[in-house]
Amino acid sequence: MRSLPIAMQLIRRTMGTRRGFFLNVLLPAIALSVIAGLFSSLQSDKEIIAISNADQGALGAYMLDIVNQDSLYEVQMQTDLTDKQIREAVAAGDADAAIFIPADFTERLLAGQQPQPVLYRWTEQLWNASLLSSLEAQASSMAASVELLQAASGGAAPDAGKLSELLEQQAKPAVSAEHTPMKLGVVAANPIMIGSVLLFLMLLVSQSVGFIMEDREMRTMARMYTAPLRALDIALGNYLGSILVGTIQLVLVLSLTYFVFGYSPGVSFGAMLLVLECFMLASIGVMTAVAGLMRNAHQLSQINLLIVSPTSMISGCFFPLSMMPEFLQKLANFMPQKWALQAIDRLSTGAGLIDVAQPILILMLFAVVLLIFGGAVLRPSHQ
Amino acid sequence: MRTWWITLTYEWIKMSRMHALLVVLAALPLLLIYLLGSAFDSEIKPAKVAVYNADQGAMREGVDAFWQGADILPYVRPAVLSSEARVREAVQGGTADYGVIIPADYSDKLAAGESVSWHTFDGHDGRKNIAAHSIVRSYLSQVNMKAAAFKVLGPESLSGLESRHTDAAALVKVQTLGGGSDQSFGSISAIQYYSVAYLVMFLQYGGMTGAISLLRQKREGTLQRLYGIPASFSAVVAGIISGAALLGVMQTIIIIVFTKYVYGVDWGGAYWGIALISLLTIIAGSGLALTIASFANTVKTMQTLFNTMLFSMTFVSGGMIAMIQNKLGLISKLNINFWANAALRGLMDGSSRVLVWQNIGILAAIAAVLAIFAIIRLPKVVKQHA
Repeated sequence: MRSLPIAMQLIRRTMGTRRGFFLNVLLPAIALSVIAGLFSSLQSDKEIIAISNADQGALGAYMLDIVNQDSLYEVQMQTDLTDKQIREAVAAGDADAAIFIPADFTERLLAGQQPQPVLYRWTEQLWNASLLSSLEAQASSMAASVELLQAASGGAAPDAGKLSELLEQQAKPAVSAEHTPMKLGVVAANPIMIGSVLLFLMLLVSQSVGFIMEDREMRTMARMYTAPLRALDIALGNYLGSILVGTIQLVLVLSLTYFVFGYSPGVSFGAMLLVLECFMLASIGVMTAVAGLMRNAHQLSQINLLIVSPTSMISGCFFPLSMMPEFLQKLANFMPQKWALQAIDRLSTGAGLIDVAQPILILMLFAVVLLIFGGAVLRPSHQ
Repeated sequence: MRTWWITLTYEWIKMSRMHALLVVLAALPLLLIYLLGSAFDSEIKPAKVAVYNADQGAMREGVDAFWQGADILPYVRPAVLSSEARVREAVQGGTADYGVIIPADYSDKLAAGESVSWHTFDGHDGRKNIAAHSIVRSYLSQVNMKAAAFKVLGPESLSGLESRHTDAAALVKVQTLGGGSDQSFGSISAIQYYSVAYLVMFLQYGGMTGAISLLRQKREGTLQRLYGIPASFSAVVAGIISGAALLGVMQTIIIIVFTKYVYGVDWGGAYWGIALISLLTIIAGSGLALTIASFANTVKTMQTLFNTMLFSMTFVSGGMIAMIQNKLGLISKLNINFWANAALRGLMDGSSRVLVWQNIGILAAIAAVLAIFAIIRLPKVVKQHA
């Protein structure tokens, strides 16, 4: 193993000094743990809906059934609030939406009129637009019930008792929507923690590739070639060094976040390490391929910024992929980050390693193809 | 003055040859603004619902009509799949936001008066789950109403229902208090928000080029040679630093013009205010970079430290996750970005001038402090043995 000294040298250069160890190992681990800590406390809460039912009769409560029925929202019953106060609650941001049922709701409904409950919201968003639509459906079916009774009783004013019976019957639904629990990955929807690990990993890899670049630029690489070594030994040594540096950093960072700071997305340490290791190989491929196109290490570090952060964004490292326009989602298939996230997401549902074979294979494919392209960076410069 | 000007122009010539740098400083912010702006635009995207209807009975027609109806399209986009497993797969893999399965015995059980359930699957996005769920439930509540009428009033009562036409929109009064804009970005749009955040971030990044240039020239020894020329050395250093600052000015112009005319970002029209804020940001950024450079000595360490700081400042001031600054308390305010962002956003949404000037004032104070630090520490940056 004549490549080993070269690999060891690369490790020493990255984290051999106290400063290197701090900057390249400790700092990223601490930053990641801070991010993990922040995000576990910032988990989005349910939408809060303030409800004030001023209705004198019984029908207002039926209207609200649709909101109360299940636990999609956090419902705050504030019956003592007036229309104006509940509007204020939304304006002040205490509630995400509010529903007000006016005092004459039952009365007017029975009289065949259309009493209007009020929905307050700050902005129009999908969830409250569909809340509105289901309130409308509820109001419509209540109005229809009244009309049916009217028709049944030959045009006389509907009997409140009969109406209650009808609505009671509706409250014991013949058809209901039964929520089927299904294990979903936690990473795709909240990717920021894993996404940041991927981002840091790419930056760290780009640094060790930068060292190889520097060797090339300073012609120290050319000197290495005068040693009684084959070109392959040198190339292997450099690759091996980059992989080892990345692995050491990865194991340290993961150990710190897993065992010291206690973050885990429900993926075992070993499986996580395996996926990230494959991702690291793919990113070494990306970085060397990019390095092959650059003239010097300084240029490389600048171009890396241009590559690493936007591709991470497109591939869903910071927010769910589904938020992106359709064509960018397709573009994400060309980024290794997407496949690493997908593999970890699947693992977090409790899937076995077999189930993530496809994304892992894709990562390896990235590694192989790009490393071949990047081979140029490992030969001495001819300039 | 002449020395200053000559150094400045030569800095510019040098920088104009660093294509990679120029691309990063101009194209990267524009790219990030585009990506984040399009990911978070407030346009309502309907939830994609995967549907499998196993029922072949009498009710199937009504159910299919519901899924094909135009009135649900603003909220959900149904995709009819051919098996339950496909629906699960689509929801788990994220190609669908929500899944619905209508059981095979739906029509039969309903006709027999027994209770029956549709099976639903929640997807990754909580808000889209709510949307899809409400739509499913409102359809089911109509079915239930008919079933109840059938039970209580007898089958003949339903004949009247078909002819009923109510204007559903009039049934519930809705008031949207915040106007059209999305709450998650305050009173401006996502793309405005991120345009501000990344302008501020990359101006400071541009400010770093001055410090890099000084450190590199010191390392290469070319800076020391300039002691030999019959001109003021401080004018030379000032030329290098202001060359980088001028680059920041160019960046501001490029980013603002591009976002305004290509992305259609409304900057609010107070261009002198924007110019002032940008200038203060550049000064603060350069000051910070030079201060760091005085401790770091090598370009690499300086870059790592500055990048880390800039990244953290952008993050805590809400440049990556919108409005995170409101949840972080004091830490979000202890940086340059927060005040520059707030001032620029204030100019955009036309909030009170007093507030905008307050933010500019604090930004100016930060810039002044950092500039003084930088001037005190400058000898450490430029002199070989200071």
